[in-house]
Amino acid sequence: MWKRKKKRAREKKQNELKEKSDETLQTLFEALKKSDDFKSYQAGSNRYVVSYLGTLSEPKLINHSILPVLNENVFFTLEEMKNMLPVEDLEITEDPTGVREKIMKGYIAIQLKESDKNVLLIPAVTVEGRQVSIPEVEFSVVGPKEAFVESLDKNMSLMRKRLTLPQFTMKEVSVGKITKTRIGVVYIDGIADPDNVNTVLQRLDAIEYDQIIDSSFITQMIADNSTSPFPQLLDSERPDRVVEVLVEGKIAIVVDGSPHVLTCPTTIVEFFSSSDDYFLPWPLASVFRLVRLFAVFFSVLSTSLYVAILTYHHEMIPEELMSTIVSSRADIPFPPILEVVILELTIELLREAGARLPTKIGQTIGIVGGIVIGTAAVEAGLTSNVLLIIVALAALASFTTPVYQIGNTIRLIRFPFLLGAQMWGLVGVSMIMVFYIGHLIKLKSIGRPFFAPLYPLRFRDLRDAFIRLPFNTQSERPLQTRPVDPIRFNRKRASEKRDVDE
Amino acid sequence: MKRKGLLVLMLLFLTGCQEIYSVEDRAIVQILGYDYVDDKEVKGTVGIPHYGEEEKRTVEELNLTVTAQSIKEFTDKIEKESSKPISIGKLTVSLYDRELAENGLDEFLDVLSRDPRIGRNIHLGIVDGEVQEMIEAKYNQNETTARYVNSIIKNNSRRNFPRSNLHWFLYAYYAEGLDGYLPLLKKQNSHIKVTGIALFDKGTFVSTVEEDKVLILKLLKEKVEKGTASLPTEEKTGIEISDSNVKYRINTKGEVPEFNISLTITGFINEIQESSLDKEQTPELANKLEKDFAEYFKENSEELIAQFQENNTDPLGLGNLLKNRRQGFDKEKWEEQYPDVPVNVDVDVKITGIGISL
Repeated sequence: MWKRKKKRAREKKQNELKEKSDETLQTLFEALKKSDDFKSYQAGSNRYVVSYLGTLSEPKLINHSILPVLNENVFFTLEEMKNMLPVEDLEITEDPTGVREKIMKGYIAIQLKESDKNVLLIPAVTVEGRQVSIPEVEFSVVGPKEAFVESLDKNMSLMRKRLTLPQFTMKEVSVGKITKTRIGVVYIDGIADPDNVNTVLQRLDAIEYDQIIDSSFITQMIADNSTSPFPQLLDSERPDRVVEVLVEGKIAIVVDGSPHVLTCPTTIVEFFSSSDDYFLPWPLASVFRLVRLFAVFFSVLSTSLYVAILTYHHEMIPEELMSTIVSSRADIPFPPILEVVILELTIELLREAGARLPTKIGQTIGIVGGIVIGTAAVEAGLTSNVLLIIVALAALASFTTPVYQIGNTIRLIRFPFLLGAQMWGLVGVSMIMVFYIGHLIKLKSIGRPFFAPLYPLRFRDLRDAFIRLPFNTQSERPLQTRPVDPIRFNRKRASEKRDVDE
Repeated sequence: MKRKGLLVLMLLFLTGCQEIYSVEDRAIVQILGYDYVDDKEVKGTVGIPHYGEEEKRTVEELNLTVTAQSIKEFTDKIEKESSKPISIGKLTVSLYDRELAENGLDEFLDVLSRDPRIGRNIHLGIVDGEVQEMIEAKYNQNETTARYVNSIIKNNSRRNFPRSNLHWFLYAYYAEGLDGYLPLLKKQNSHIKVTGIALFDKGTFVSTVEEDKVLILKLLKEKVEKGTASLPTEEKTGIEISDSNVKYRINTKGEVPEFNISLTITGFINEIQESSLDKEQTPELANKLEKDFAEYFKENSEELIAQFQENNTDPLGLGNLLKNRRQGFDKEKWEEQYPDVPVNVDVDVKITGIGISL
């Protein structure tokens, strides 16, 4: 019984779809008229039909440029009208689908008569959006302070003004069954490997989904391994950073409606390099980068090492620390693992709460959580002083990563380490480490190795990996991107000394 | 696949059956000592630190003593007296009384060398007196006996005493033509003193090096970067050694191998008695002092080596050297030769300063 019902429903749906495919202007306007912000009226001396979406089209343009022309002149063809209108990029079309797409973007459609098949399309798009502001996620003290916004066109212009090069190419595709989101694949022709470009375009084409709200959707959908906790495309909100990697031969994916631009192929070390690294002298930048890397290791391993050493390998505790650790642990009713889990969860709760709350309340939560809960937990004898310090430092260390996405990964991957530490001690920690390294070695970013300068070992790319060598040594583009033109500049000329005045 | 899943689940849940003791739930043995009772029995004493509550940070040591016939039995018996499981991994000092050492430490060394939890850098020591008394005595507030003894040995081996720990002793113990030595400790009233070096023939205590000759042994064994010696004359001139170097040469031309030891010592004078104030600080004085000290070190070295040969112990490792540098080492022949092997010591002292006073 219900089967037949289902069948009928399916047939009905198919009919609807069919209707859509043989759409005419008439049906289009009828469908649009259901919506109250769609305006269609007769204007001008000859009562031309003007139709547009009031919320998407610029009223100034209509009032100042279009309506006066229509009122003052008499046109017999759209062609004449097209020549008279002081607006650029006009188009006359009969194709109803084209008309639909354009109207939905904010174009104004003008017909001579209501039943006319020919439509003149006038671009009058106005989209409300945020102004370009300073970067909030990837903040840097020195360097450019512009960040991407939610508009593809604005983002493109932010990049183009930094890269005035005709080879700077954008291929636009639209993805998403319903949203038809515009996605720009940006690269420099003649530097970027065409294979990489094709891979990205193919993967974007293959996306089967109804809506693309943000670029992070794309990250997950075109990733080589979408179950991995590691993000395989780097997202950035800084135009300067994106342009920098474009010049290295990478590809950027700009998604309309998202203030984050994705770049690929990327490597694990790129997630730990911040744009500050290039604004500081190279010895400082290298040291800070190493500090950041150490912080990540500390953040991931410190608590699991605490558990492993306290439960299995107390021989490793130095004599001087023994009394501190033992006397702070003496009153705690839990084994080390429970102690750690409780504190880690507390920190995670604080983070989640802080991330969901407005900035000002978020700060208060941080103070309440950090100071009040921490001290209270120690005083109540639920956790030890030593662990409180370790967990707080680990949480702090995980914030040093310049890319937000990898910070989340670090948050998660330490829990398997804890499990391993509790079950098999240091052996367990190393087992989990081996597992992760194995995973990283297998991982790829649009077909290029993700663990790159380390495996496969590429000495050339190590010049800008864990340390950053001075600019005059970076004369070659990274091997990772397989650039068509691998030479950045003439190294010999760059290292020449020209400080003698003659 | 199902099997694999089951395996993972078992790994996850069966580990819960293992009993795990966190640090604070263990009795951590830091010092362990044995006394001789009779031919069959030994008396063992352990020191287990008991850390005080949080803010006080005091350490008290809990001592357990049992008499047992074997080391295995000893550990069982100690466990019976302890409220927490005994953990030996953090052992820092192991002491033996003189009588026990004279009967041979082989059994104890075997246990120490077999246990993977015990570090190779623990210190061994021979006690002149009763070990139990030394371990049980209270020396200093907030410091365990283990830490006290450990730091005494460590501190002295940075100065006049030759370095020695389990690793070095075991190396000498198992090597051919090389014997180990350990510091000799003595309890004096409320403190402990290192009184000399106990020389071993393999695992058996045979002789001692007195306090004043300990530096000579160190000079012959290793580089001395901080050590003091003084001439036994009335003037009591003292030297502070800042650097030393020792080289061994073997001459196997004759029937019996001949050893030439050349010792270079660099140091400065840190004490000259007042009566010699009228002596001007001239290069001649320095030369004279250099000669005096060279003679002093040479005499003492030769005496010491004679003592080694007499007691048939070879802490300098002359046999080991011969084995390493010449082919056809015959252990039995060497052992016969050793007491009469000629050893020449050549000392060169260089004085770099005589101080800033007049």
